Amino acid sequence: MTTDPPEGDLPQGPDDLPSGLSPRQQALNVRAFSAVVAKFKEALLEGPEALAAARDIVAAFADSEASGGPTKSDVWALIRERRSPQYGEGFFEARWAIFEHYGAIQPYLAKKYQQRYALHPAVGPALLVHGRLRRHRGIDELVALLDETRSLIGQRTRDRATIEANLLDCRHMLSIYAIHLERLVADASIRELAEEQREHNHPGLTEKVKFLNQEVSDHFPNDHALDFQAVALLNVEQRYQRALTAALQRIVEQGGRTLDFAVLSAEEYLEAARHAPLAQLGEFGADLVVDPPTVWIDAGMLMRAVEEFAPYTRVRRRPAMPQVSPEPDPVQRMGEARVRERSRQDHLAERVLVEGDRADLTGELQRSHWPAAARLLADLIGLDADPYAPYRLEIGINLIIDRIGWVTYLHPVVLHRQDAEATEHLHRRRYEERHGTL
Amino acid sequence: MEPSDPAYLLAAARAQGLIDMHGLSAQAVESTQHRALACGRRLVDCSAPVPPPALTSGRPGEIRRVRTLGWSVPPVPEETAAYPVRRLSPTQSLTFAMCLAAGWRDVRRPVYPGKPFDRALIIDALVEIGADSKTVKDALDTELPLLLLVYSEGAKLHLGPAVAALPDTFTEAVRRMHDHLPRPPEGGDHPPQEGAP
Repeated sequence: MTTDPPEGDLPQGPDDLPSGLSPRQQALNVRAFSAVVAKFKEALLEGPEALAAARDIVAAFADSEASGGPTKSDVWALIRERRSPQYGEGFFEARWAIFEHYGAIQPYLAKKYQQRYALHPAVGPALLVHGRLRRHRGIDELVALLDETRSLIGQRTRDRATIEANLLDCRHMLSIYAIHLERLVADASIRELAEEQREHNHPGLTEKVKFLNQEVSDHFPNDHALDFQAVALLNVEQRYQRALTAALQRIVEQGGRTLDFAVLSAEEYLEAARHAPLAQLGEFGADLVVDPPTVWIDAGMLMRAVEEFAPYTRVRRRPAMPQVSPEPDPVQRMGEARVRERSRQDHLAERVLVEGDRADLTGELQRSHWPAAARLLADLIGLDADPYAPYRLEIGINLIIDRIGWVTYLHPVVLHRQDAEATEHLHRRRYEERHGTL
Repeated sequence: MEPSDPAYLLAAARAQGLIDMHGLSAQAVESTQHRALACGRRLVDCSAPVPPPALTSGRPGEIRRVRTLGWSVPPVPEETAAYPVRRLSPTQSLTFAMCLAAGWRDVRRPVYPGKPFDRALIIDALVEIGADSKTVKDALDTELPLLLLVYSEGAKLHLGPAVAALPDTFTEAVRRMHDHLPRPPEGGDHPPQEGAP
């Protein structure tokens, strides 16, 4: 039967740590922190899983009620039951082996083949230190050391050597912080500087150093060496504050000039909205000019859009023009032949009508050979049939028979010229005959 | 605040994209120019429909001399990518590129004011190369005029105040690639010959 984990043991991943630093900054802090005791390169697990596994192991050992300490499988079962680990059993086994190697996990009894284990108490503080390191870059350690030194000075049995060593350590740490800040002020980006500046947000630091300096003077009035250390610490603290102020000035000036609202965190804006005076809040935006979002066209983007354009629809192109053959159009050729034929017939009619508006062609037909006579007669019949031609052909009913000539029999043929009115009348009459409206 | 106050005029230019010069004294324009230069902007002389298309419901405004806001010194903030800016869609960019090529024919001259060009020629040429007809028409009739990149005067289109406000770096960059811009077929529009007797 399983029970719900108590409220205080709700699964917590590494992301649940109260953290003011980005994951990259946290990893950098852990690397620098571990470099002090590292033996090999690449000996660190920089991901958040290692810290999560350590927290789970500590919690499992603390929650285990097994007599004589839990076994490894007990620990893993507790972790799986109560912590919802984001890593697998293989990773747990690897961490367990490392912990055993370094003595962080020890056999409960000093016996061979011992299956039950106990956790070394130093693992808990190590987790706390790592947690602080991921929230601030060790500024809490400096403050704790200052407090501890003040506490030592106040004790009746104070150890001067320890106090002097603490003062020296504090001075060195503050010097490192001041140099680090000065370097960032010189060449870091404004975002990086803003993030770094948040780590040093410890308002009481100056007062603590001042009090410490005062107490050293009060409790060691004639100890010039110790007094020198306290004054040196005060000087370094002032250098550190100057570097911090320079960082703030650069953030405010550069951030204000570029209107980069991201240099302050959302919490800082919220803090200002809640606690800043109304007049100061009213100043915000007094010189702010807001431009509506306008379109921006740059040449590179424009040419890229042109080059990368792909048609959305299939392009329908006209078919190629057909090759025109050089021979003339048959219909046109037929029309032209018709025009030529009609012209020839007109000339023929005008030739026979050269002496007047009437010509008797019977004699000419009798004198002609049969093919020529037939051609002439056909031309004249064609002219007569054309309603627009001003000619009329009259063929008599008499039959002329000639057994010697080429044309053995024919009727009398007379060609008449007609004026335009008569032609039009004839045309109308034939049209009416054709359509039956007469 | 008077309507001729520089702050008022600059606010109007920011809000509607241009200032109507009608009825403004030269002194008011000059002080507005000074105030604009003090904050890194400049007033650019150009022509545009008044009121601008964003303030009218379909009916085009009267074409007048106006001033629009440009940047005074490069690099302009949009170039530095210091903040997100609005950009044209691919088809709108293609349509504007063809408008630019049609209006800016002589690369030896400034891009603005350019020459008027036919809306129908732009549409035909873009549809011919496969652009979506409706999107092209929307860009020519709605988006580009709203952004003051082009404006219409009858059947002709002109490059708009936003083109006049483009920085010189844009002009120089496009001048080098002017022959790569898509353009309507030659001979479709016959511009008047300059300097012809």
